[in-house]
Amino acid sequence: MRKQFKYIIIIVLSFGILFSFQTAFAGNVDIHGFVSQGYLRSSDNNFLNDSNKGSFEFNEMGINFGYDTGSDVTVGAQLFARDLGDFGNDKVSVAWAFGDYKWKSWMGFRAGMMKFALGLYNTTRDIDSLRTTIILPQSVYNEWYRDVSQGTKGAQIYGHLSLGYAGLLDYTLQVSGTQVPIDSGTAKFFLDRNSTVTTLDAIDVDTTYGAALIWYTPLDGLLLGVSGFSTNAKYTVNNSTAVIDNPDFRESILSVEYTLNRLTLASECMYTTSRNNVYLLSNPSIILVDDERIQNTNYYFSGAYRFTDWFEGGLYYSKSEAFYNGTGPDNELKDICLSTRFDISPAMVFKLETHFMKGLFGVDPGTDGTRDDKWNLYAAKVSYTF
Amino acid sequence: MKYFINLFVILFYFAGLTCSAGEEISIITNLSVPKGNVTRDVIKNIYSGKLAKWPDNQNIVLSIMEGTETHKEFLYTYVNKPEAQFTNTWRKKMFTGQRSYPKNFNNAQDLVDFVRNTKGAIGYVNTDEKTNGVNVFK
Repeated sequence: MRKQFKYIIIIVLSFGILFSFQTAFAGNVDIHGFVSQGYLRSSDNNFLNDSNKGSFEFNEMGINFGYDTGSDVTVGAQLFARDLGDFGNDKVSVAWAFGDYKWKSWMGFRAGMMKFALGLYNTTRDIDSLRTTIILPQSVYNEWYRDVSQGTKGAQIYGHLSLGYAGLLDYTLQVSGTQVPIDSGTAKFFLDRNSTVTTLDAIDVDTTYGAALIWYTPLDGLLLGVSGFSTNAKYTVNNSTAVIDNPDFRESILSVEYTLNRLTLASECMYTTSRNNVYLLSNPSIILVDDERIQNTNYYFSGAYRFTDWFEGGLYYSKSEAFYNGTGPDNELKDICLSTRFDISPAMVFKLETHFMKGLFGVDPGTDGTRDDKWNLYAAKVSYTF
Repeated sequence: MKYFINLFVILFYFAGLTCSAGEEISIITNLSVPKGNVTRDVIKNIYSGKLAKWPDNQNIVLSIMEGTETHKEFLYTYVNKPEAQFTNTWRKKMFTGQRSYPKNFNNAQDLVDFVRNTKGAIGYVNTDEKTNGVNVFK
């Protein structure tokens, strides 16, 4: 009941803001938005929400304002709320809000709160109607870490270079600061994965430096991308008695996408490295783990085909493995996803999909010890975009 | 695995097949756009969202007629994308704050008026439409 009330308040507030903006900047403000509601159910295990019983705690909504000043400067903002099990709980946040100066085709500047350019889909993952599948491949687009990329404050230099016969190149250079609350998905995931950690008291992430390149090759429909970032992360744990330090945390993604009329094929490979140091906060010379190197490689292959104006089918294979060293079902997840998308109208989309899962990486640890490492996940979602 | 490979081969075959509505399309631009700047590749890159400025640094302002046969024919002839892909491309740009969604018109003459009166504007109409005061490319 309380949640429904929250929903109504958010919608009423959004429309209030919408009409005030239209009155204030008549004609120059573009207002768009999206709402989606999903349902998850699994044959065994809880994944992302209480999926084993079936859960509707799976929704997103956003409203977007863009103001064109009529020059090279534009400003815009997007408010966003989501709920996915323990994450989000429909709390309204600023997804992005920035000023953009397009100086030349080959160089522009943005400053404010922005989505981090990473991989093919990181900046658009909030908007369900923009893709074929309901759940993006978790190997590269892990739901727990999504709040970290939700809105990073900083600046970007971006541009677009024509390479003549060699195609076109888009680049983005970015520097940003990220705050990671201890009730975030990142924090929950960290706690679930570290059995020796009893409390997580603070997460400190240093300034993050990132870059993204997309090359539109001369072969029509083929694009290649490389993107990544580097930062340092520090977790204060166990009632502030110890520190888990991950210096030189680096993530890089290689991306390829090929579109031939109605067919889209894509693949991405993410490589993450860092070092792991654990020491006592009261006496940093007492080192519990000394400079352990940690790394993992995650990847997926996907294909989608639009059969008619209203029907699209997709499938992907995704393989995730744990960042901290370890093997066995607890440390990996293989996912074969079959997805269907029905465009009921240009504004409304309905999707159904099935995941055939092997492994328990990312599965809620639960308390009853009855997890099964071969399981299925079923998802349904309806989205409206305006 | 063999099943998946066969499926992809079939989809690849059908992916190459699209149909045309058979309309004749004219590309129109505002008179501020130098005629030499408008080539088939440039039109494709503009409507694919890859180009945001003309070579003389004017901002490119796009106009479209979504939901019409003219729109479908234009996408088939110049952009080589189904309508849903085109819509998604621009929604992605809009919802990430990179670009505004192209200005949409239900009426061809309204689109021509918009292109005539907007610096840097580009659009498309059926060749039968009156196109006074704009650059026309057939």
